[in-house]
Amino acid sequence: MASPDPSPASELTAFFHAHRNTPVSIEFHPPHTPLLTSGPHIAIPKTHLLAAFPAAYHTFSTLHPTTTPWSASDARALLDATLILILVAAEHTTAVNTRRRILQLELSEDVVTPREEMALLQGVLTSHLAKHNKSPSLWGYRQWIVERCGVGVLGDGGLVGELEVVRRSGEAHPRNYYAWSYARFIVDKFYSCGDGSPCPGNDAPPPPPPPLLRELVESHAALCRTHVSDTSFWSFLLFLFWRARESTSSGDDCGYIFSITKDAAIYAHDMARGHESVWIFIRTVIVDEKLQLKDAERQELIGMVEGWVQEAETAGNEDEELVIEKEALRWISRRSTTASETPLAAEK
Amino acid sequence: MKVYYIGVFRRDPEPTFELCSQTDLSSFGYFQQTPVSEFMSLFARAIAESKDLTPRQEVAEQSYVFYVYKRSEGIVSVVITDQEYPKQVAHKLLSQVSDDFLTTYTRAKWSQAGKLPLPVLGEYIVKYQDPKQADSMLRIQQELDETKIVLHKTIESVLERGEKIDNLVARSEGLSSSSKMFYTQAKKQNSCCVIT
Repeated sequence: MASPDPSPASELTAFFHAHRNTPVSIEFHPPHTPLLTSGPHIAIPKTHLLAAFPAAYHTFSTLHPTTTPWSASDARALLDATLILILVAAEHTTAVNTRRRILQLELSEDVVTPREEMALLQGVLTSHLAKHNKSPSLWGYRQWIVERCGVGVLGDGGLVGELEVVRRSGEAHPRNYYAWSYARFIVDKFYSCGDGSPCPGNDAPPPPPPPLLRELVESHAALCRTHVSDTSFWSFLLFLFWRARESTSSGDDCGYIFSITKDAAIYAHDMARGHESVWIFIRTVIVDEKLQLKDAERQELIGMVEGWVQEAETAGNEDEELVIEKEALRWISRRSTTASETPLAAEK
Repeated sequence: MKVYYIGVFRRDPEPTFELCSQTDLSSFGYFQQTPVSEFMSLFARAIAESKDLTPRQEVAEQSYVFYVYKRSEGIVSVVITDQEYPKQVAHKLLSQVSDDFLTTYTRAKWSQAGKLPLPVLGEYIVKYQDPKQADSMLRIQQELDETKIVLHKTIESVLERGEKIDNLVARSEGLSSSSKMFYTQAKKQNSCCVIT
């Protein structure tokens, strides 16, 4: 007697069970196309996902309301069900919170481990899914796991691995505020106090030490060049500049802040023209006193841009880049004027 | 910013044929990469064989830009990028690829041949992802006269006799049946409510 066809929900569950602890890649495909799997890759037709939803919701609504802690089997069933709910709706807060509660039960490794959840989240957050990459619930859940378990939960990837997750998510979904907010959190986790406490039930060694801040700044600046229209990449570079200035590393005068900013301006002017994101970054660096640019450096940057603007106006070149550069100069001038009019400046 | 595709087509003698190509589709989902690759070749070929093709052309289509360089020798180079990619670097890449191909193969060879490998495309598709790094590789070239570059807002605007993309897809022999089905279903999906 032939066994019945697996249900849509069980097909999805079987795939994710087969790839526990492995970041998978998930795609949503048009309706009435086949469910495809290949290694850790799955393409789920939207009709299939919809067909899986009723069973998942039935399990969730049956098991979720309870006053007693869930058994291991109930917890596993809830994890399977909530995953489908989250795939249908990235902001299903109750589903995400259910997974949090299950983690807090600290059940056996057969049920779930924090590292397994991190791997699952990595797959969801870096896949090409329109809503999941930029989900505050999912990024918030990832942050909660790290806060609860310490940076030991990151495994061999450490800080560099986490920033790679953010980069991939940011590329899949540009201007990804929540991904880059998580990046700020994780940088502060490593460069502030970085506890490295072991993960519950996990004897793995703590993650590798983070790179020098300068190395991090320079590698991210190179990334920004290939994401000129994504203000989130540039804002994070600015954040790294602030961290570098606050760092207590000896002998580092952070001269690279000026050189990176100058290179960015030249790059924007010569090659990647017409992107406001770059100029918002440049103008902010110029006026931000926390970054402690020398007066000569500040004047060099402003003089360089003024020269370009003058050259373009003389040549009658009125393209978008000229407009953006002129606006950057006006903004710098306004901020400089405002600063000089403050009572503190007047006392000087 | 991304370079997705670099290719060289034979246009003269007809029929237009993709002699060599290289893609970087890592920014697409795993299962989307094969149909996307097929569609990029299809559209690049359709532009390369268009009747009124000018020496330098840019064709925008949704979030993509097709840069095209027709050489008098009879080949056409095509580079497909996203809209963020600097156009002057894309045009320089086109010139570079054309020169490399014509230096490697004589007309006697490419006018009759099937596929002809150009290994340097594999190097270019990696290095040109960062235009600043790639720029140092470029040989000194004559400044491009941008007024001579013809701009098109859609692929359909360069197709022959008002042909629609749907027809181009349906009659294409270079597309697999699964890619055609994917295209048809995806188009229907655009008219429906999006669940996720």
